[in-house]
Amino acid sequence: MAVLSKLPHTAGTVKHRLIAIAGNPNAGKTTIFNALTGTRQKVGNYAGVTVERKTGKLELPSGEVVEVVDLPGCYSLAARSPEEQIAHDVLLGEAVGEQRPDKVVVVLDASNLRRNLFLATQLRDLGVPLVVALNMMDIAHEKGMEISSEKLAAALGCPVVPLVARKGEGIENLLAELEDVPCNQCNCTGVPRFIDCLPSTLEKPVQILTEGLSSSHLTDAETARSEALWLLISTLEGDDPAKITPAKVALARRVLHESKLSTRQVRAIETSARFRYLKDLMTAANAVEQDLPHRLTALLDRALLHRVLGPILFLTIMAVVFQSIFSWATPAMDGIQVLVDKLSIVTNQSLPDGLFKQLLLEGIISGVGNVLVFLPQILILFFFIGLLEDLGYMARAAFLMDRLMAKAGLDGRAFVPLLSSFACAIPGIMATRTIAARKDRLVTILVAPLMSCSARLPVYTLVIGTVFSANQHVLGVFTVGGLVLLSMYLLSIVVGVTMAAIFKKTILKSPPPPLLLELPTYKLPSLKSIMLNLMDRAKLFVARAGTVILAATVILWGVMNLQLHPVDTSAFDKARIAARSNPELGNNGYEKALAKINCQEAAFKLEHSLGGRLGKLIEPVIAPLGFDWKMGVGIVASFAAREVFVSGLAVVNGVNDGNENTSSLREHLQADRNPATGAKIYTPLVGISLMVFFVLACQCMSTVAIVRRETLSWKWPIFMISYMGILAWLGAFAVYHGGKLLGFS
Amino acid sequence: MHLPFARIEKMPLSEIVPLDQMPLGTRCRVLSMDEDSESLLRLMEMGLIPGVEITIERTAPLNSPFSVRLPGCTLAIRREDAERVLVRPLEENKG
Repeated sequence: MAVLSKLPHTAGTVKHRLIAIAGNPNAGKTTIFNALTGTRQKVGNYAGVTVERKTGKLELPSGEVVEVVDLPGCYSLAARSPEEQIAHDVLLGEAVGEQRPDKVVVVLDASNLRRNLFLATQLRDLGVPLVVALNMMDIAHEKGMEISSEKLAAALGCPVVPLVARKGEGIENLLAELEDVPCNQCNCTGVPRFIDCLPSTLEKPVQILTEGLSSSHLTDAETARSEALWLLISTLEGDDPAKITPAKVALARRVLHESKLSTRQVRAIETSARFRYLKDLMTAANAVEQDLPHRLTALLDRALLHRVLGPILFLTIMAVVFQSIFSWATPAMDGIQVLVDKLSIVTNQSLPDGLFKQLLLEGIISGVGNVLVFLPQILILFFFIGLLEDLGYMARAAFLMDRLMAKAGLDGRAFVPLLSSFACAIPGIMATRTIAARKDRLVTILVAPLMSCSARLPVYTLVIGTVFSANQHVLGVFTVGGLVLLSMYLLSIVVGVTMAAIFKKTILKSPPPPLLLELPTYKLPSLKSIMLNLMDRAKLFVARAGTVILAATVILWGVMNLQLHPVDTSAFDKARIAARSNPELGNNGYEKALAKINCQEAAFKLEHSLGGRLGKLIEPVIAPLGFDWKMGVGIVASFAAREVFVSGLAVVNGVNDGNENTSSLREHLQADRNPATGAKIYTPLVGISLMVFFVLACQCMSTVAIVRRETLSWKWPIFMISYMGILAWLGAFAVYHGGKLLGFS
Repeated sequence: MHLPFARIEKMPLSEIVPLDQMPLGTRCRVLSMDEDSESLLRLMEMGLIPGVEITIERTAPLNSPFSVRLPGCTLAIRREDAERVLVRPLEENKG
């Protein structure tokens, strides 16, 4: 026991001091957070909401280790979105499971000082111990602003550190100030705060509400008054009310009613009055803003936002991004496949045969492969998103796309996630985080898997090659195969846009989200920030979605390989013995005969597995679409990933070579006939019906896993499987029977 | 729409124009905004408040949104929101 007591505290029990970083979007908050914490970062979620929680460890010059939390960027603390609510709750120590910060760094963009001071003075009103990080001093200088940090510090009553965080300038000074600021006590005394000089229309309601709340935990009067003002400007009713105790809401609403004011009126008055107050404060700090355009930005925007050239450049950039996820990721994905195969071979050689080895090989190792294979696409997409975001181009893309996307009921920022989904829905869905409004983000997530991803391509290739003369020319330059493929992509876009509009008008009905778009000055990107973000994405994906994908692979392996009742495979053993003792075959002939018997046995086993039975079980459901039970087995198997349909179909048909580009499987399918009627099974009409089914159905457990992760509930992934399944069935049914009525076969 | 017209009623009407009617490239002063609109309240927090001088820079290809330069930053504002911002063109020739 004596030894135990001498052990150092484990990480969980040591309570570090907490420093919070707050600021406007685009002020350089994350750059400063990265400069302070480096690679010692953790990304997660705040309890119960999808707001990302970024924390990291920092060692102060004194050697003390503190925890740093990067709060969501916002323009005002008034709670109207989960991000703003979390920012406020963390700062006041009211967030579930969060400790109250001992010190707060507020990051300001010096080139846009007045607007950035808006949030800073809201924080100051709340009485948190503040250090101002005056960032982007270089851009302010280029714009002709000479800001004196000493005068600003005097006017604000708290330390002000000038920085150029991108270049690492000023970080040392910031660290020194962080050490000096006393914990947990307001350091902004001695100067008038906004809350001390409210306009007369607000003074009375704030006064009454402060008395009514009589909060005991808010020690000083100013903080209590600020909290009352915050209640009055937060959204108390409507679709997404702020999460505030009902007693407080009732009180605030009574005060508003008595003062004959609405929340919006209070917000308008507070905003105008605070900006007037800031004008005086800035005059005192000798920081007069120059209304000069940033020259490089103005120059670039003339091309990038040009009415004709702008969209062309936008499409070009998007084409590069799309092309890179679509094809540049392939070598890396192949590399991962080679590594997984090598691992399989080594395992195969070092373990005795049996069910356990099979589980390890085909369940667990291939499951790990299923997870890792997504990483190249995720990393490439997020590299480009990070790069374009850092450059300042993403805001321009949203600017160009806003009107078009709004017509489909989507946010301008939904374009990139949806485009990426044509390569793979997994990174696409992960990229929807830039969409602020919860319901709009959900709409985008729900339709992203409808975009025809690259995993569907092998299915299209196999089916087109089987049922059409794919290379036959139409209208000179086109081929039948190309046109059919094109129509599948068009179908996915039309259905996706239609479903988005339907969701937006029904289950996810919400007013068009306000456009909160600032066109920031163009900046050189920080490679370090981009790389740190890439690491976060990769870790998040592997840790959260990866576990679900791995588990699902193992379960699916069981479904496809385990038999409910023992099956009699002795006939195959007999056939093998017969082949070996047949002297006419010769060595070569024997090998061939053995391979054929093995294929037949695999097909027999699959037919009698749980998956095979499932395929037969669903035959009555899929028969109206023109599908037989073998396709049913393929559809069950393809839940692992759509391209598995091809190899699943090969196994169930007893074909050795399961590749969509070689002829053996194609020829086998072309010859496949209905045992009852003798009619061909793979007719062009069945082929189209099958492809339409694949366009519309959500046959991808990895998508289900990532939706679960991004929505924090099973409700949305289950809804997604259901609606896409119904859509796929109806679509294939309409094609098959519509085609028959029109006389096609 | 509740526009506080009291302060601006003494101006000649020709000088009070909704923002979306202004030709691109003009400088103007914001006179008043519809305070009952969530979008406009958000824009106010981003610095677009009555009294501020702005330059209407350009529109996106489908004629919405506009990009508007404020002292310190450039904001996007949709056409339907711009209709509810009243501005007065500024006569000036800075060269």
